[in-house]
Amino acid sequence: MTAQFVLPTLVAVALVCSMSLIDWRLHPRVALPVLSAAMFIAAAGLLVVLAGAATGFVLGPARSSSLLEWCRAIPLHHQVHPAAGVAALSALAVVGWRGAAVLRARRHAIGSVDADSRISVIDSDDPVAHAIPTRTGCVVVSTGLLSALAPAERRAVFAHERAHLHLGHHRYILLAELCVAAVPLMRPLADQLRHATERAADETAAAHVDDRTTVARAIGAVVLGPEMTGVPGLGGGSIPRRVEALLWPEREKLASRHVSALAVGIALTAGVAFGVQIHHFGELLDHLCNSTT
Amino acid sequence: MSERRPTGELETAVLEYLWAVGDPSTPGDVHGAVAPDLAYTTVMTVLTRLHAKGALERERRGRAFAYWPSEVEAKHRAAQMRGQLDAAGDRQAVLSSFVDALTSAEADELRQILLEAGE
Repeated sequence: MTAQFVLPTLVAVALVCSMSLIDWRLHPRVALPVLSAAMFIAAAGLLVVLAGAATGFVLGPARSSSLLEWCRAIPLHHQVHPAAGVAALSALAVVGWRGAAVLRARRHAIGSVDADSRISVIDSDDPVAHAIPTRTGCVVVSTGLLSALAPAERRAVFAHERAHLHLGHHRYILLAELCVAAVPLMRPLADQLRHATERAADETAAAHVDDRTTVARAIGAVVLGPEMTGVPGLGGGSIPRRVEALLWPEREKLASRHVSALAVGIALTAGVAFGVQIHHFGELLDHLCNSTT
Repeated sequence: MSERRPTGELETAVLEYLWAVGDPSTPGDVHGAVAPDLAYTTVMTVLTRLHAKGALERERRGRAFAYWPSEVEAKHRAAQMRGQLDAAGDRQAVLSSFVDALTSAEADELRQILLEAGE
């Protein structure tokens, strides 16, 4: 496992992490596929390299024992230094742990509502409005949230959450969170993705209630209520920007075609680098297949 | 020309309308607001079914009924759900919310925006 061997993945991860430094302001139509693809490429690239190093390290001693005959046939062109091997195994354990936490959270969220429930109103003063990605999709709101809003605003909230479900945003968010579990530096990209899903849902809600101001007012009424002010933001979905975009759509500063093309270009380049890395490992696998037949 | 909507979707639309409106609504109100493209009787059937399921309450209004939503998750279940949904990791991890908490700086910025809009 020389540095050269893992170079393509390092390039891919570096490119995508550098994307994290920029607030791209991509249109949701572009943000959703491009950001999730970029994150996937970086995370998959890193995992492939870690798995390769860990496997090489583990197989090393196995080759010299008589227990695993077939292992002897694998030509390990790239010796894995024990330090690198241990580091790779540790990193994989950490990533696995973080990824399992994401999946566990998802299971809990889905398990918190009835499987066939499509709308669930809980008796609580706290403002709650979530879209739970069950098979049918469930919108959960609290009586506290409903009481803070006028009828038209309530319809806007329902429409917003329903839009998340119809547009399949939970898949993008799950993918993004799993990728961030592998490469924490990509958190800003996941936040930008989340913001894009919120803007898309806001626009759908605005079209549904036929009044952008109602959606903006609903956001304001929920967020500026006594429960929520002054609590550190959990990231994702810039609320002031959402309200501004609803009230003054002509003012929204979205990425130009050139900037969008740049984002696509960086993601594609990272993709090519990832492809090269896969090709390297493909060769290893090829040897493995040939030598065991 | 009426479209056949999946039952679940129509029931959901009716429930959401009733929760949004708050006050008791007649089948006529619901029909006009939720599914004017469908038959009036279809909407009435949905309301009757939801009432039979216990999701709605109703009272007589002359010859018709007025319906409003009754199904609110019991308090202990709500607390349980809150606990599961609110663990900071959970919300961050996988759920879309309407809004997340914001910093006081963001709150100030938002108040400015709403002031400018005259809201």
